[in-house]
Amino acid sequence: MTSLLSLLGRGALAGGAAGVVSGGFSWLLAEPLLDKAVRLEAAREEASGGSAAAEVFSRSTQHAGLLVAAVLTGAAIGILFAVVYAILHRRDPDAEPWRRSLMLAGAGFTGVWLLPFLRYPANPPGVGDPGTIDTRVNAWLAAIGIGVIAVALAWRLQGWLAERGRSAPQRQLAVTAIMLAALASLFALPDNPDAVTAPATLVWDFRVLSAASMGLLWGGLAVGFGLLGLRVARAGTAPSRRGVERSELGPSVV
Amino acid sequence: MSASAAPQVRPAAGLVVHPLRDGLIATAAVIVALVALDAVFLDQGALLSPVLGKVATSANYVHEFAHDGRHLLAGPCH
Repeated sequence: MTSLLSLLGRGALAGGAAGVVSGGFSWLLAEPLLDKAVRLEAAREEASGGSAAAEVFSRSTQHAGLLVAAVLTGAAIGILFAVVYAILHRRDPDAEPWRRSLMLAGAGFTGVWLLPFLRYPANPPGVGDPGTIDTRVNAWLAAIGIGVIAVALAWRLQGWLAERGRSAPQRQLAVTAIMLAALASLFALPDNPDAVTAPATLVWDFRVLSAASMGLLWGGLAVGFGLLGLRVARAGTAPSRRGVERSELGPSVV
Repeated sequence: MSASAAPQVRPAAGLVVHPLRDGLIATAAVIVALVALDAVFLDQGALLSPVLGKVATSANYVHEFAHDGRHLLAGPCH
């Protein structure tokens, strides 16, 4: 048996660990690029007459900030993931934990990151006007909302069609239709108002690394949460005395 | 299995739910997670301004600290 708290713990643990992996990866591979972009930004500000604004934190502190941000993001996403997982698990407790973890993380990755990214891809430092930040934040949040709604709809619709015994092509085409509708509404959102002035290679290298760190974050969460779920499932069904004790203690201890 | 050990008997893989307690826990967990995501992706000084006052907005500590992560994880940044 499982309690909500143990699911939340698994989510925070798997997400935090995925954040360490993703943050470590971007510290090693993405920071050189970020540093380059920051230097270009400062050089351009100086060339245009103004002096570069004094930075609150040094670059090395911001490097550490990247790691902290990745771990925090991972743990937070892991907790939200666990809440959704708990809802699914309550509705249908017999699903295999590994498969469900991978499916749910795939859905989260698509809805929370991939769909919004297609509309508003990541930009390196130096792109982005402080004056338009509110517009950009609102548009970005709207894009995440559309992505999450689309994925949830697709998930429910595919389950509903499967229950009614519809064939795989019908289910998959229905999911594709929802994704296309989501893309259409994403592109109905206003364009990013800022001009991308950084060199195109820098911008695209940055976007690829951004995709890789998000992939590591969600992938790590899926693998970690799935493995923890398997481990608990095995302990719960093990005929050994220890396994029985654990499943008896579970609900009353936590 | 003793009756006192399990509050609700469910299949072995099921979720043990105490509606009130778990509702509160889930709400608190979601709030904590959203505050963390707000700090990493959205904050422009509001989070620290109750403690630091106006300087929290002008220096934008949380934003500057999470700056690289905000860019890399595809959040909008200045």
